[in-house]
Amino acid sequence: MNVDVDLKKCVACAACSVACMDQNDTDIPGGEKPLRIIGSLELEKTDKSHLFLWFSKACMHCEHCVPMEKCPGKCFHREPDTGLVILDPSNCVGCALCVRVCPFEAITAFDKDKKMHKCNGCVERVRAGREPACVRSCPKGAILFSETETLPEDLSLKNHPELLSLKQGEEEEE
Amino acid sequence: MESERQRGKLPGEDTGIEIRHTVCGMCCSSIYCGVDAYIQDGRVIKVEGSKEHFMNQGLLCAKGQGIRQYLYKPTRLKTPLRRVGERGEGKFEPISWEEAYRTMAEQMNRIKRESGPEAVAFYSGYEKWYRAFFHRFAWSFGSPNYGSESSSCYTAKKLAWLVSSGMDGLPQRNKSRLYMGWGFNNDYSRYLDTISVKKRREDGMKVIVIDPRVTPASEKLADLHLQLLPGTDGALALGLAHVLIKNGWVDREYIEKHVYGYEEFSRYVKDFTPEYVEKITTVPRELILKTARMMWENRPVSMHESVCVLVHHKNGFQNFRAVLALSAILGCYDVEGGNLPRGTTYAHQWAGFETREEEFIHAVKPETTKPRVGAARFPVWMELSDDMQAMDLTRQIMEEKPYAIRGLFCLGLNYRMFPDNEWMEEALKKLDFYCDVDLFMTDSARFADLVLPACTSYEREEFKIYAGGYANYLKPVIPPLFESKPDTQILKELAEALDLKDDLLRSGYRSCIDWIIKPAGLTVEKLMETDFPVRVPGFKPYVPGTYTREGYRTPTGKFELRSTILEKHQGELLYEPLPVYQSSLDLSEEERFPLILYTGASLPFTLHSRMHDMPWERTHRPEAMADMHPEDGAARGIGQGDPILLETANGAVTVKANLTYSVKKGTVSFYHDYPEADVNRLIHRDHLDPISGFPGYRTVRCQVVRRDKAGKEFEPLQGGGSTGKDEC
Repeated sequence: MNVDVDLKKCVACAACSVACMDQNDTDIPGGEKPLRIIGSLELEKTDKSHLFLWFSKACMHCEHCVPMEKCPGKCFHREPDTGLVILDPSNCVGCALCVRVCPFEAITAFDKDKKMHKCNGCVERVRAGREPACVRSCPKGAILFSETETLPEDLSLKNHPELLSLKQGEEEEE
Repeated sequence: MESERQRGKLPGEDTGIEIRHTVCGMCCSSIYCGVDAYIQDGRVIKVEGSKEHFMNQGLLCAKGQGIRQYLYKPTRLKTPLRRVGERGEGKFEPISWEEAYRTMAEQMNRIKRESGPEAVAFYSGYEKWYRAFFHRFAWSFGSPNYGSESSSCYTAKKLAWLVSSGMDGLPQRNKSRLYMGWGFNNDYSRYLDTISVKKRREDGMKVIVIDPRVTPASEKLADLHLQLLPGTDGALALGLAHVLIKNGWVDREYIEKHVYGYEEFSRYVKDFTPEYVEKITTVPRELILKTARMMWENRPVSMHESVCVLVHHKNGFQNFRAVLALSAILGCYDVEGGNLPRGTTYAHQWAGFETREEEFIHAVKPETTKPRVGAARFPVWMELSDDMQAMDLTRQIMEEKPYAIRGLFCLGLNYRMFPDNEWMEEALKKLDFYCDVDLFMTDSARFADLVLPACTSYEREEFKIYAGGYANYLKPVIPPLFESKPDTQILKELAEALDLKDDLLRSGYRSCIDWIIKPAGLTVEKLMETDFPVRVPGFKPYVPGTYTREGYRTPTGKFELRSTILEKHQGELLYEPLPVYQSSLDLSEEERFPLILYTGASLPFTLHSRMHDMPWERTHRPEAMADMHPEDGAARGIGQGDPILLETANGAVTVKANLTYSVKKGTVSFYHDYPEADVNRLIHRDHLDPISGFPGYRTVRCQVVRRDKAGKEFEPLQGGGSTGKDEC
């Protein structure tokens, strides 16, 4: 499954992140964290003016998933029918190795159980022939979720994980 | 054990999850998106945009998507409450509805007996759906003092239109060749607008965004971005008029036939050369020339009409008129693709057909009363609006001039939206009797003697209209939670308890709606046959030019660049009949307060205070931060995330610094409605537009210092508690 974010289209309007929390009953006061976040980037251009970009970000379900490879508890697996990368935290020991090696910083520790969690691509919905909640709500069509399509390299967040390390302050800021 | 399909919240008999249709009421009343509410065991467990709804076609923004936190917020009011502690202490005891109504009737009728009906004021927060009923209730009671948060939102724009052309207006963007996006950042507010602008742009429409900030709209939708200083829109518009007139880029025929005061206006704009306007606005002169050319070469031009962006300045009313003047001199008013006249179909909205809403209200208008709140200060408002100007309410409660306001009945008051609202706090404490209806225990409800629980749009029936001749009657998707009731039912039952002589109001919501919508050939019964909006029978779209042929409803019958209404009220108030430009800044010392604070920009995941304290929404921007330019930060030794003191002549708040190139150097943008950092307290109570009475929320002189460098004399204001329902 190709999961990506179109940087030309995304405006960080948060429809996706809230749809995600609505779908997953994310209990913020209870110590859970958002699985999808939004953010903005201000990149200095050669003429000293700035390029402004907005993005939405969660697990990209990469074809080559480093956390899956490195996880000592074998908590990650790839769904055969959908190709989605699933993190089942039942055996998670909280070492957070996956958090450090994921290029998209898409894995997060919940305060409530000290275990790692991430977007599982709304796998139950996808198996039933529906799109993930974030894709369903995005008013800009900025989140790609497709078996066949890919985004041109210059528009794609997946091809530019380095951008995420350039951001100022916390990624939750928009 | 939960099945996989239940975990995925998939509807079906096997999961026990059912989809019911409603619409979202979280934001502006002109953009109610269709919602599929997923219901399991009588609870909403998920929402999605309705694909079947013509408005949003499946989409839903962050606010609508977050509705469950609103429905099931822990501070939802469960029963009517009576105050047992001091005012504002927040100590209440639950009482029955019967007792609440009895108390209400005793208190309100006592004040009426002792001081006259005018001594009770009626105020509505943000919500619009019950406004006609509430207004009628106030007038049936005999008080002229009905008003709302529209005293700081929407009305000024409407009044600016009324003095100019005699009717409110709206852009016909789907036929424009150029869209002037004054304050247009609609990805974060009315998001469907940017989708249609993008489509129109693909068809060749040009877009100019005029905004002090860099936004997704300025970056992704605009051919030109005019990044002006806050509050200088009027100067920019006059500068554009200067270039248009100088080059003869005006519609002479339209001006000769339909414009009043053109010669005087042209003389006035002579001084607004691109060089002069660059000094005021910081927009480069070349860009001003380029914009004017683009306007002339891409007619019809339409102007984006935000309800409050341009008018939240001391000179806001005149700034807005200056923008409208461009429409007139270009010959783009009341033409296809320009700005068109609009009426009001229902609840402040225009859907292209008539109802009897206004007659419904006016049928019970008190014949003689004392002057409305705000009468002496805002005569233009009084001539053109039926409401009180609520921005004068605090003063009248405190000073009792020209007479005392002793009782206050509110649906969803948020006193925090008033400038210098500590004064309003005092006023609430001074009242003899104050009842607030709300969904939640808000800061405002805490001051009330009586708090009544209302329900949300998901829990009630409601009549809605849509542009293009559509009407819809919603059915509740869940029953009212706890003992809450729809506001209109509360008004009906109170009308009975107070024994108002108003049979129609007492007949209930449905029959009132039937009465109101009769001329459109509609009935509630018929509308209830479907969940989705239906086209009104015999609907005919407005044909541009009709109003111009009829003659405008202004005193001269023309588009007034020189306003005869302002001239009439000029007197001691020194109103200028032309749309003149003046600085909107307050008079505090520039040396001490060198930066310009502007509040009121939209975050995409909250509408004012409505969703500010909801856990999902708060994750996106957990702390109150002031957006400032990195160079302004560096000059003050301020780094990203540093605690800072944001200070004006009126007070200070402690917040964090967010350094961003998206704001202009010399300006500070701060989002309003953080309960813990109430920026409205930094704004002086009299920092109001003298014509409209609108607060100048968006142009206040300020200073920023690192918190640890601020002197001990600063005791920053700190608010507490939650804010809630229906505020602007």
